[in-house]
Amino acid sequence: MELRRSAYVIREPGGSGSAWDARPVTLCHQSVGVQGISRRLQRVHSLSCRMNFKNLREYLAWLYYQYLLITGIYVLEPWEKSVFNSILFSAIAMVIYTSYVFVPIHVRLALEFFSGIFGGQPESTMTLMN
Amino acid sequence: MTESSATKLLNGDVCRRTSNGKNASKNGYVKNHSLFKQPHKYQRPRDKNQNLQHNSSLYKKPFLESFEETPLLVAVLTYMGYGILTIFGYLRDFLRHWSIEKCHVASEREEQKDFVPLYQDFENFYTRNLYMRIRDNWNRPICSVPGAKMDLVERVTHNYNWTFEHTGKVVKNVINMGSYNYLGFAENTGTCADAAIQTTQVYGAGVGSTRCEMGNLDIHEDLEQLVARFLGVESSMVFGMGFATNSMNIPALTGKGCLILSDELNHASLVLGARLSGSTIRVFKHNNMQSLEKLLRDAIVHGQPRTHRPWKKILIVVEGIYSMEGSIVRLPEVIALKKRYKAYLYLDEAHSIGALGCNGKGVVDYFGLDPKDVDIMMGTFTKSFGAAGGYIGGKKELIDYLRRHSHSALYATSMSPPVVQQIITSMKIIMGEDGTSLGADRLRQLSENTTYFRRKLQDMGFIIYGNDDSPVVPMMLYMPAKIGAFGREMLKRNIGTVVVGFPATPIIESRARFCVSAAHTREMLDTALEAISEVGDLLQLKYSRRQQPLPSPGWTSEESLLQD
Repeated sequence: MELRRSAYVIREPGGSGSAWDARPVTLCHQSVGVQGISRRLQRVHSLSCRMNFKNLREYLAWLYYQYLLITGIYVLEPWEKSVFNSILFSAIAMVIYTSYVFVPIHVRLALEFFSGIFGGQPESTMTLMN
Repeated sequence: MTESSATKLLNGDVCRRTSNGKNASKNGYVKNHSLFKQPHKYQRPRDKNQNLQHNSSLYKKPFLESFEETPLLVAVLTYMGYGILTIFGYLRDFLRHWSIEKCHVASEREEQKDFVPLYQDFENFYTRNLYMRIRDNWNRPICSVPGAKMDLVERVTHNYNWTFEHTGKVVKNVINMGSYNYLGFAENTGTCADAAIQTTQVYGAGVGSTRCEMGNLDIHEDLEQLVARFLGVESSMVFGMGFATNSMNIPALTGKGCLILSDELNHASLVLGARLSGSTIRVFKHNNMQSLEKLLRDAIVHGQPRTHRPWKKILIVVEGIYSMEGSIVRLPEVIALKKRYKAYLYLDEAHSIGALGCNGKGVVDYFGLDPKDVDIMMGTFTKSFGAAGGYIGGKKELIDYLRRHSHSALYATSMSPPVVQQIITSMKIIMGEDGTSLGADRLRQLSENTTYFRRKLQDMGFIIYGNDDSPVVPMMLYMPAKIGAFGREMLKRNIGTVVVGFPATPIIESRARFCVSAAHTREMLDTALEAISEVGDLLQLKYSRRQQPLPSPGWTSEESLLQD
């Protein structure tokens, strides 16, 4: 895969390589499997490498620009952008808070439930043997 | 039309074994043809095979068209974007209605608020809430000749595109990728311009009458003979406006009791003309010959809707190049179908005349067919000849009939003299009759530019629609915000492009349309391609999932499938 990437891209020496290793996928086509996903991630990675980002701030600004374009907010007036951003941000904050509060409890209960079904069986077989 | 039409209802009970169309018959007698060679045999599969066999033998060179499918994620995100913008549209309409914000849209006076609404609010929803926000990409005033490079007037808006102001500055030398200037005749110097100036000095600029009354100048007659010679038809007629040529002449050709089979993506002028004529209109899928054949067979078998009488005539209306898709009509198959089912063909060569074919004679020349097979050849002078107006070419009887019965000939002012002279000069250059090889050079340059531009854009990874030989290059953008962003970013890089969205295209398939010109030099195209690539990276427009060409030949690409 390294060879494929270099076919597209001349790596900038001063780029903040570390920040790009854990990137969200911005473009994800219909996948043909797990291998296909990883190859597409690399392709997307290499595509945005061509952009020559000088620092992290520029990269984040470009990500925000992509968010504006994809949601269509780009065409709206600034106050409308603020309204949408605040609604979206508060919705996401609520989701995160709820998941922080409730997900561990639900996961623990689910594990107890399933271990109760499967974990109980060996004991009963032992008693029968005895 | 004066010729007798041979379309005939085939009665289910009466099936005669006759040969196809070789019987001579006098005027006024209905020919009795049978479409099926043998009675009561279901012919469909064999006909399809025949069509397939014909397909390969009808085309002299490979017919390569591609319309790559929309990636699923992109389609979903596009719908999501439109949904969000619709919600905001409702919000703004609410604010406007309750006067919380100033309303720039036309509305009735206070006293008339309770009357029947004069301005249809909802129909303009899209215009008010989406088009207005990115309106600065259209109607840009040009203050020079729209050749390969042009000058634009700089505009600013202080209220988000509701009104514009000119700053007084001019953006100079913008590369023009939007004008229909296929052979580069949009120029203000050179033989064409000089000849037009001469003619203005002789005839003036206006004509002052319609063609029928006092507006028939001798240069009009010269032009018509020249056009007929150029196309290879018996006779032709020219009109002052291309749109009016279609919309005013189709009503003269067909009427009630006739059937018009028109392509899905026909231009508004053809649709308007068909509707004005009062004929029944049936639409077949874009460039799909099976759909057309099915419609033809149904029409002939069932006849008119309630009475089952035979149709008076069946007219197939197609275009040479469809400008929104960049696709070329499958003319050999259409002509084969037309001959088989005895229909008439109306070919609108607005974009293809002068731009296709080795001699520039349009799509008929491109496929190497006989111009006499096309009953009505229509075209415009706007695109390749650098002028304005349209023509219709065909048999002498047809054109004589149109001279008497066309609305455009009777009521519309005839073509202005300098425009006529521009067409005459440019047509002579294309035909090579002016003694230089300028026409042949330009035709060759256009086809080279087209091939180069298309290949480069496809290699970069954009989704490009259309035939490989068409100079109209639509590049898909899909998302509504990218329409505005693309236009503005390209203008920042000094390239003028045309972006198109709904309602000219389907709602998710918005695109940027490039028109390659013979006046573009290789350097200009390279500059443009570089800028397009840059903007494509910035906006993430490279959606194509085709196999990308790699410099190292050893790689086989398992990742991207070749999608059509």
